[in-house]
Amino acid sequence: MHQKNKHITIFVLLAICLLVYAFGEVSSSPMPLSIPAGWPKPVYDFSKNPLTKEGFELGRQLFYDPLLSRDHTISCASCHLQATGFTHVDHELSHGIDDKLGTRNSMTLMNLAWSKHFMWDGGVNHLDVQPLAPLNSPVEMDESLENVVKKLKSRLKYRTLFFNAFGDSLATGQKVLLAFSQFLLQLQSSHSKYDKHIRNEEGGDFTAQESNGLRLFRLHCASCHPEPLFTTNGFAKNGLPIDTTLNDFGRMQITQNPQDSLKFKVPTLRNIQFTFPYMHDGRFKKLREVLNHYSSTTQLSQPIVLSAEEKVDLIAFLLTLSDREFLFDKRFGFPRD
Amino acid sequence: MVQASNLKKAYLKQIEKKIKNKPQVFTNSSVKTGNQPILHAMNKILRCLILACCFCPGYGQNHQQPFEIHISPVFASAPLVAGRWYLSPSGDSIQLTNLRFYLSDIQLELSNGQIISDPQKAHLIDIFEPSTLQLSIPVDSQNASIKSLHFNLGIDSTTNVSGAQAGDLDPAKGMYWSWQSGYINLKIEGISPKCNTRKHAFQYHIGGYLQPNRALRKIELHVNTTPQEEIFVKMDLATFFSNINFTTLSQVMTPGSNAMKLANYCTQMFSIHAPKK
Repeated sequence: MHQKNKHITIFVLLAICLLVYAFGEVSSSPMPLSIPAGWPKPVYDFSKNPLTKEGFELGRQLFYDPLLSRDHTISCASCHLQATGFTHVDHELSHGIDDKLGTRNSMTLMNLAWSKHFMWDGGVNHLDVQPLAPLNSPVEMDESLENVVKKLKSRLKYRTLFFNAFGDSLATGQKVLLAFSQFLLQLQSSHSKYDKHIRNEEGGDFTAQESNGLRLFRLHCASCHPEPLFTTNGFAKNGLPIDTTLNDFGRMQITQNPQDSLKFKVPTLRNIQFTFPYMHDGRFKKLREVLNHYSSTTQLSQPIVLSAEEKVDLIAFLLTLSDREFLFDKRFGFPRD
Repeated sequence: MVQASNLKKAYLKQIEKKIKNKPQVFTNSSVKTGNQPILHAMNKILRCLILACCFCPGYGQNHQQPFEIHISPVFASAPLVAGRWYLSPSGDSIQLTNLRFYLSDIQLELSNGQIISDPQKAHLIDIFEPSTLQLSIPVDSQNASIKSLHFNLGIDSTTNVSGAQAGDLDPAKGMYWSWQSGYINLKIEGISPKCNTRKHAFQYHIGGYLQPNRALRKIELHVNTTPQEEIFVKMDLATFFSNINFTTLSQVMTPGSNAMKLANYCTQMFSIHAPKK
């Protein structure tokens, strides 16, 4: 009898414990992505890293913190500025620590939940591990995840942020990476004029020029840049001759397959108005130069024929992909407290 | 029973540690004050639970007994020690400075046909970190004998594409490639006067999870022992270096045909030492 009572006590205590635990969970507020109607299913497995407000906040602080670099001078935002679609504008090749130049133009960051491979050569196979590339690169941040974890553990601010996000104040490599994904996954651009046009929303009325641009786009560009993400998220050879000062063969460097020579990741075209210069090595400053390349190269399987007027219309359409709500969304900006 | 009480002690210690850690967090004023009463209540409940556990005989009793596996690194017949020079079968002087690798998906095959899987997915072994050289696998059938030991040298493809992992698989452990995602299955680093490199160093980082350069190797060793005994897995570096020509190959740090070749040499290193009586 004595024994039985004890078991009952334990059971009741356990039940209370579970209730308190469940109640305690409410303090981490879920922040699921609201996926626009008609968009495909995301690639990212959210069940392994459920999005919360606290996780997002930690990721945002990390994104804007130069502590991540060896000498505390470079943050992710150094090469990924919100107002320009989270990329580094006006530099052919992005620069990092000690003013060192990289070999490519930084990529934009948006709608990453749909991406399977990252970087221009697709060398990174999961969003979670993407931050390791700039972190370890000797010309970007020149730092190790191990040392970043050490630095974060010593900051009271981060102990609080980690506790809020993960219920444990101690940083680990995994938690740093999961928090980054929490922030990056929220960078969703889906409120451009084009989106409003497709959803028949206010402000989505296309001019005749924009409508013709969309028609031309669907005819000539959509095989590599399909709606609504404006990328296949795959790799393609786009006919650019190799820059012999860089000798960047793209995807082949990862797969070691000669078939992949000069293939690069197809970038999204969303917010393209602001993400200049264009191509993996930033060789084109203007959208017009990009269109001139595609309509003159002999390297494509299907040549693109565009008249001067058609190019103007196509550019008018591309400008409808600008999403000011996204580019100026305060939640994604520098955390001022 | 001794085992069970040990487990209980470890569990209590863990809980106590958790409770002790919490006030450190509360010293920060920016923590939401709304959480405090709940967490204080939780602390109290946890304390009650600890007491309840102490007074409840048989609680947490576990019939599983751990089977101990020891990894014994050697160079031919000599034990492997950091900073000591060894002579390879091909006549090269060698000193090892870093030797770390992943053992994953460890399984024990019993005489009754049962397969026992290690609950921990992967172990990061550091030859110069003795605490990592001992593994224990809980075995619940004490009457059957252990026929063989199976493990992977390296990390499987699924784990390689599954994003950020914890524990030994945390990329902060330095066994992860950043510019081309994937785990480094094994790192062998050291010096030999034969190497025409800076400081005569050799570095072999063996990995790669995509075909045709999948560097993971499955290893099976015949054991024939009882769960009450322990086994010693000998890892003989001399067999690895007998294949190595330092003048032609002293640096491998990418997946590819060289990594595949080195991975094959690695499989020859492992054998079972007679169990200590």
